[in-house]
Amino acid sequence: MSELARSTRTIFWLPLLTGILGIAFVYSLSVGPLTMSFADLIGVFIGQSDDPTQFAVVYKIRLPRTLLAGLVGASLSVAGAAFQAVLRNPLADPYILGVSGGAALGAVTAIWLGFSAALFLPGAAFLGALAALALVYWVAQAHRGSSHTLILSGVIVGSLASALLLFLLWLSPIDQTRAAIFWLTGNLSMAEFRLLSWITPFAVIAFLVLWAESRSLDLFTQGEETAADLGLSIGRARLTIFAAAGIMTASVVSVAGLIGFVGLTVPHIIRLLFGPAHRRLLPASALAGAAFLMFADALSRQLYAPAEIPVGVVTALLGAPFFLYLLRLNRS
Amino acid sequence: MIQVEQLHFSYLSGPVFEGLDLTIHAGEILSLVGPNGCGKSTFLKLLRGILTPTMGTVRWHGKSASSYSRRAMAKMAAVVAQSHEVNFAYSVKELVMMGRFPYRPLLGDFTAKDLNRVDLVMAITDVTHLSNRPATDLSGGELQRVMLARALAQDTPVLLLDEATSHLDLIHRLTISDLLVELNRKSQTTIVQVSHDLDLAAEISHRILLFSDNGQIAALGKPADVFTSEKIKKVFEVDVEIGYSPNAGAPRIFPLRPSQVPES
Repeated sequence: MSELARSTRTIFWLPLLTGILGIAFVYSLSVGPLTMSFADLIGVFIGQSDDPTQFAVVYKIRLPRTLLAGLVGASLSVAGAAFQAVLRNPLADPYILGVSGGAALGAVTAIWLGFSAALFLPGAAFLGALAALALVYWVAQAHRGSSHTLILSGVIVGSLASALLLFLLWLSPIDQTRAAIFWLTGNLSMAEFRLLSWITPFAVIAFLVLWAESRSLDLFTQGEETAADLGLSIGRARLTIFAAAGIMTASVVSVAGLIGFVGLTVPHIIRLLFGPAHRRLLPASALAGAAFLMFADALSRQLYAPAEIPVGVVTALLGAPFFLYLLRLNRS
Repeated sequence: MIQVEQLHFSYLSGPVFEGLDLTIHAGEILSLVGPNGCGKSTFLKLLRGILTPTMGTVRWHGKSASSYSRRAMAKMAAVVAQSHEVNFAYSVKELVMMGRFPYRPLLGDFTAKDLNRVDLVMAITDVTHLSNRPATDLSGGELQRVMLARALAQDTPVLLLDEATSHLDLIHRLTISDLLVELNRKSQTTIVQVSHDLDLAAEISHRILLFSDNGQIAALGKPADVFTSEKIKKVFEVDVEIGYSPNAGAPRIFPLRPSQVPES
């Protein structure tokens, strides 16, 4: 991870990633059944467009969806970076502590009980995710929250949740099963401003908490004993970071379902490009994750239009080759 | 400065210490030596409050080690271990900067004072030229100097070294031990080190603590008093000849195989 990181470790990450984010944003707004040029978009935004359809498409559908993609992508990437550091595990992703299983179980329970209305589903998923997180932490606490106990109990709680989930699906009539599977594959079509206003505060506060813990995250990567010797109160820092990253994940999973790959690989890519220091890694991952998911979502709407490919398929198809290429490029 | 009284400690596998007493004086170099598994590293962990004694106390300036916050302890004692996790490609400067963590304000970041200290200790340990190199690219000797720099960045009156030089080659072992001696002379840094290099320990230490394999103090005192063939035989179960190097001004230990031991 040497040459690349060394040459790009400068301030230059900020304009670069902001630029990419801007391009992804415009691209995502212009793609869909109604094709819009950059000029059309400008027209809509400065209120010069006299086409009410364009106006409605942008403000009612594409803008909330694009913003949601950005928020979800940013949150998953930041949470992934935090979990990878605290657990010192490159395979850690935001779902590692059973958050995904809990959220899925919550959502499917709500669908099964017939509460699939707009706000019930995310609410139930959020509660399910928090319950899973609390259970995992409570079990691991008996072992002073050591990272492998956390991972292990996260995996077990996740399996328990999926078993219950499969049982519920087996009990459910077919149309409910379809609704559940649609939710489980992850999608951004629920986007509306009401949902955005509901999850944005969680994401923003959690991000600020994690960013304030940047130096603690740096210390965690050195091993817990070393971190303690360098003056970190491990227990307090770990609880803060888990709570922030866990709630961040829970809130986005509750509105977007399970979108894989972003939280696992975006932090790795950013580390390879700009180094591992969290002061830079967290905001850079947020920008890159947002751009990546906006782009992937736009593609998922464009490739088989008017049908949508599940966005998780696109994230993996786009991200995996790029990640492999970077790994290959970096002889370390 | 550090008082250990009636220290008891057990792992699940059995007791390590059963009533150990020791006073560590400010400004001394104390080397802990003894067979593998006798509890030297455990002792260092008990000293700095990473582990808590089952009975007895470790006191720093009269207060129990466990009553200090990690941050307060990190301002009193810095640690250099034998091996390090280098899975993340932090640059050398970023690694050394971590040593300033205990001085960081609650909100906010490092100041010019922190940067100055980092520059100073990187110069002392001769790693300035490695500043931008990622940790993943360093050789063992370079990494160990960087870790020492990080410990020095903590600016502590006490340094605890856990076999910090044992996998280094001869020249690096010598440069680092010279550095320690210089620190001790110039800044009165108290140094407590676990070492398997008895000769080097004899050369630089004011006192040697020889552990027996059941965690008892077999001998404690000046190198020449501790490193006698009887005491070493008793603890390590190896016959040795004790020589003396006039140039180093310290005893030298030559292990003997059973066939080499003269009949008495």
